[in-house]
Amino acid sequence: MDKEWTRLSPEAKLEKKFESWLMPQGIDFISAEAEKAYKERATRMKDAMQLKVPDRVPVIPSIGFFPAYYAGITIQEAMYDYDKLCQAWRKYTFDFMPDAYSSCGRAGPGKVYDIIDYKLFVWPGHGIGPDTPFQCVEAEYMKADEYDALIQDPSDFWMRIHLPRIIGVLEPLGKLFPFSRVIEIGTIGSFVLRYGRPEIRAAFDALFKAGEEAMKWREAVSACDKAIVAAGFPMLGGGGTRAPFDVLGDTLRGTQGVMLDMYRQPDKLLEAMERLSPLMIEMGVSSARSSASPLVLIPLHKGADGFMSDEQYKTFYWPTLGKVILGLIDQGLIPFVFAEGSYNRRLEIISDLPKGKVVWRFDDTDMARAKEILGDNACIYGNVPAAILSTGTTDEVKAYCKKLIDVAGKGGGFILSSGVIIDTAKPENVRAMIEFTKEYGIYG
Amino acid sequence: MTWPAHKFVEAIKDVQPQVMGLSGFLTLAYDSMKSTIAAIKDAGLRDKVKIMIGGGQISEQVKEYAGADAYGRDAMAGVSLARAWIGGK
Repeated sequence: MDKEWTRLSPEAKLEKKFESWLMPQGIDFISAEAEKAYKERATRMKDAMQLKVPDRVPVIPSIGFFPAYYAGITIQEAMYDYDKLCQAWRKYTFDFMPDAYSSCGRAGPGKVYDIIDYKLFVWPGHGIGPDTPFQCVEAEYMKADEYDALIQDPSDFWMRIHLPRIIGVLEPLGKLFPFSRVIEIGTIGSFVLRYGRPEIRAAFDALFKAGEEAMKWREAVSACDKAIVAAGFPMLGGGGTRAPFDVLGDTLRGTQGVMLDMYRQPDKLLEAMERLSPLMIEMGVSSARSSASPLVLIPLHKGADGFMSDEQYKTFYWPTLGKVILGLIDQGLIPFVFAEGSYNRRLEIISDLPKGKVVWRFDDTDMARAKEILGDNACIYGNVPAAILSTGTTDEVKAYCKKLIDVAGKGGGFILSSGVIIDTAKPENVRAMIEFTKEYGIYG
Repeated sequence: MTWPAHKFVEAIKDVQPQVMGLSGFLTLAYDSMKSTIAAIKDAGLRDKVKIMIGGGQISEQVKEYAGADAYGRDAMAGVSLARAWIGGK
């Protein structure tokens, strides 16, 4: 990173980021109309994010695998056949014309998961049928007595303890020599010796093979994304990171483990989250670096209403999440915090953040209260229920959107979306949500 | 994880429960709940068991869609429903 950039204030960094979003580098727009439409869409979202009144309410469904279902390909095809993947995402974007586009890369490279024998998730052909999206297999991947190892050296914990458990071909990595012990000449022999073992060679061979496949996938995804941007659709993300509590609660200790730890070893849990906080800030910053969008998605899980008490939320969940959010803002980025489930009891707690610097995406939260409590402070984003989009009528969709625009859209600072990913929603309902918002959501 | 509807039918014949619960997360669960409850009906077992569905994206509308008797948003709601149906504390 150049010195000039590091000297800029957070506000100046954000403005530069927005500039590059409004005028993306390396994009040859397919027409003057496409370029104009791109700028209108990006400006509309920038205005909403910064609590101004845009020309109309931006509308962006959270798609999940909806483009695959809509285009009539299986989830398995979307994960394995990059041409079909790209065609489906193009078809969705051009047929529905949302205000922003989410990369088709989220479907992920199925062949890469095959080659490395990924164990943390099941995906089509590996534990579930061809038409079901991937799912996490929750377990206690990190044991209750492993907090000290994590706290002492997180990277070493991931490389030599965690990765061997969740990636089949990396099982032998536990035998590697810790990098931090490579100090002077006497340590080199022991360090290199491990790479003479056939099982370590096999692990790296599998990684090289997976890497080649990942390059092909990346090339296809990047070409697809660029073509859609060139047709006038800004990319929504951005980077991504996690709340420290969820890093532990989702895929390390698991829900049961982390809930017990709040009672049995609260100090270790707190120390581990403090240790993870700067790493999660860095994850958000570096993942956003190559992208034009300033948004950094933070999907929240275990802090929702009903998962823990207010006191526990204030003690365990919020302090380190708040640190990650502030750390990202300090780097000129916009945390795009997705409170899946309900966040009605947390609204007051999360309202104390710098003005116009965060986007709160809500699912089952009362949007009238969210507007009242957060509206002067942060852009809110949401929340047409998946239940209506999947099982309701177009009139029910429009009635919900109307209420949402009247209440949450008042005075700007609002982006209309689905509460969660829409996967198997009825296409006519998704169309109704987008078209109604484009007509009814005009300000002025 | 997807689970074939006939497994539920077999389990009802086997265990003869008073209450059955189906839990789901995102939109994909709606159709799978609907077809599971339809299979139970086709097997002539629907009036033998009270069926509740639950999960973060489940609502009154999804309950109607799937043909369940009641729904709840979390595990505690499920406990209350079961108590109301069969008693106990």
